[in-house]
Amino acid sequence: MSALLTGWTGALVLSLATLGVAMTIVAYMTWIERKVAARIQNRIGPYEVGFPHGWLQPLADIAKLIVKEDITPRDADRILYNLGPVLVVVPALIGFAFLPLSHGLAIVDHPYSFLFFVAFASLTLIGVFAAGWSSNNKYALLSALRMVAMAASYEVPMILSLLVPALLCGSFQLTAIVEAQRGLWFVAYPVIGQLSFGVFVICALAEGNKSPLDILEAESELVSAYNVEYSGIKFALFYAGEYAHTLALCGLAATVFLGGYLGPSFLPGFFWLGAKCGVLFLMILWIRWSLMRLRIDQAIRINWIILFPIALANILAAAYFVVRR
Amino acid sequence: MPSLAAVVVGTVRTMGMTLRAAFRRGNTIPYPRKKRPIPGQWRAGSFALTFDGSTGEENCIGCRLCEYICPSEIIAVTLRKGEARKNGIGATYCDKFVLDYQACMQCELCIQVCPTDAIVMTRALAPTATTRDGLLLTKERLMANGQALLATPQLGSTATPTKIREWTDAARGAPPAGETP
Repeated sequence: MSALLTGWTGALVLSLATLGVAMTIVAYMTWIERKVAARIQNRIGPYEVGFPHGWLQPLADIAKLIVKEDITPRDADRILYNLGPVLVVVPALIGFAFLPLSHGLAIVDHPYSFLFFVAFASLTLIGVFAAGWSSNNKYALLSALRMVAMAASYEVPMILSLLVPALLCGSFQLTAIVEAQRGLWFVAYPVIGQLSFGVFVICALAEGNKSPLDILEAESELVSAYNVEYSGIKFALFYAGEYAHTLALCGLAATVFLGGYLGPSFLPGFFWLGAKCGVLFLMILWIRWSLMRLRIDQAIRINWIILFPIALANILAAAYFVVRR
Repeated sequence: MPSLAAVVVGTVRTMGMTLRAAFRRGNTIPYPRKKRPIPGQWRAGSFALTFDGSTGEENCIGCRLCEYICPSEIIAVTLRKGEARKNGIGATYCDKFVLDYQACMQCELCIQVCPTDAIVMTRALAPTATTRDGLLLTKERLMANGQALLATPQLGSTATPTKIREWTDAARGAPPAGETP
C-alpha cells in the first residue's frame, strides 16, 4: 500500500472512498432492481432519464426525494422519529469497514471483525423499531413488531450458519476466513458448506426484508411498512438503508462462503468481490420477484421447525469434521 | 399444508418461468416516440365539421339536434339563414358552433343524430391542449379539422347516420323492390 493509505489519514481516505462507492452502488442497486423486476414482468423499466436505458434514474429519484416536503406527524416522538432513518443507515454502512475489500485492504482488520460485522448488520433493527414506534401509527407499529419478531427468529439460524465458516477456518477474522478459502471455497465443502450457505441465503432474505419473507412490508395489509409516515429525504434514507443492508449481507455471503476477493489475479481483488456480490444480488432479485409472500406465522414456523434444526445439526457436523480433520 | 415435494416443484417451476420471462423482449411501447396503429373500430377523438365534397359547402344546417341530444350539454349552435345551397338541402347554416371538449365523454350521439353527416369525430389519439381555451372547439377550429379530413378522410369517424343506415341495411338485407323504407 502507498504512504497515503497508512495511519489515520489513510483510514480516513479509505473510509470516505468506501462510503462514496457504497452509496453509489446502493443508488444503482435500486436501478438494477427496477430493471430486473421489469424484465421479469415483460416490461422495460426506467428508460427515459439518461440515454442508454435510463441510467440517470437514481439521480433523478434522489433529486425528487430531496425536494419533497418533509412531514412529521403531530403526535410523533420527534427525537426518535428523526433518529430512525439514521439508525437504519449508519449501522448498515459501518459493516463495510470490516469487509476485506481486496488483498490486505480492510479498513478495520480486527481479530473479531466477523462478529462486529454481523452485530452491526443486525443493529439496523433498532432503527426500524424506533421508526415504527415513534411514528404513532398503528400500521407502522405493527410492521415494526413483525420485523422484530422475524429478525429475532431468523437471527438465530443465520448466526449458526455463519459460524460454520468461522469454525472451518478457526478464526473470527474476516481476512483470515478469506485466506483460508484459497484452496477451496467454504460453500464447496460437501454438504456442510451448501447447507449453511442455503440457510444463510434464506435468513438473509428475511433480514433484508426481501420477498418471500418481506413480512414487514406487507403492502396489502400494512400500507407500506414501518416507514408509512416518512417522506422526502428521510424516506430516501430508509430506502438506502434497506439496500445498504442487502449489499452488506451480499458482501458477507461473498466473503465467508464464496472466497471474497479471491479470484484469478489478472483483475484486482475488489472486482471479484463486487462480481460475487452482484451475482448474489441478482439471485436475491430473482427470488424476490418470483415468489409470493409468506404469512407471518408460516415464515416463523419455517424458521423454527426447518431452518433452526438444520443449522444446529450442521454446525455440530462442522465441529465434528473440524475435530476429526 | 402442501407437501414439501409440491412446494419444491412449484418453486422451481416458478423460478424457471420468471427466468424465461426475464430474457424475453418487453411489451412496452415508448408511447410518444412510437405509436401503436389505431384499430379500425376506434371511434373517439376530437371533432370536425365536414364539407360537401363536390360543392365545397359546409354540411351543417344549424338544426341543433346535436345540441339537444348532448348528455353533457357542451354543444351550443345558433342558426343563420342564408342563400340556397347548390346541393338543394335548404338555405340554413350554423352561425356559431361551440363544443366544449373539456366535458365531452365521447358518446358519439351528436354524430349519430346529425341528419347531414356534418359533425364527425376525428381519429386523434390524444387531442390535448396546454390551456383550457385550447379545448374549446369553436366553429373555426372544427372547420379546420374538417378541411384536414377532406385531405385524409380515412381519419374520420365512421358512425355517421349514412354509415349506420348502410350497416343496418346490410345486416337486414336490402329492402324489397318497390318499397320505400
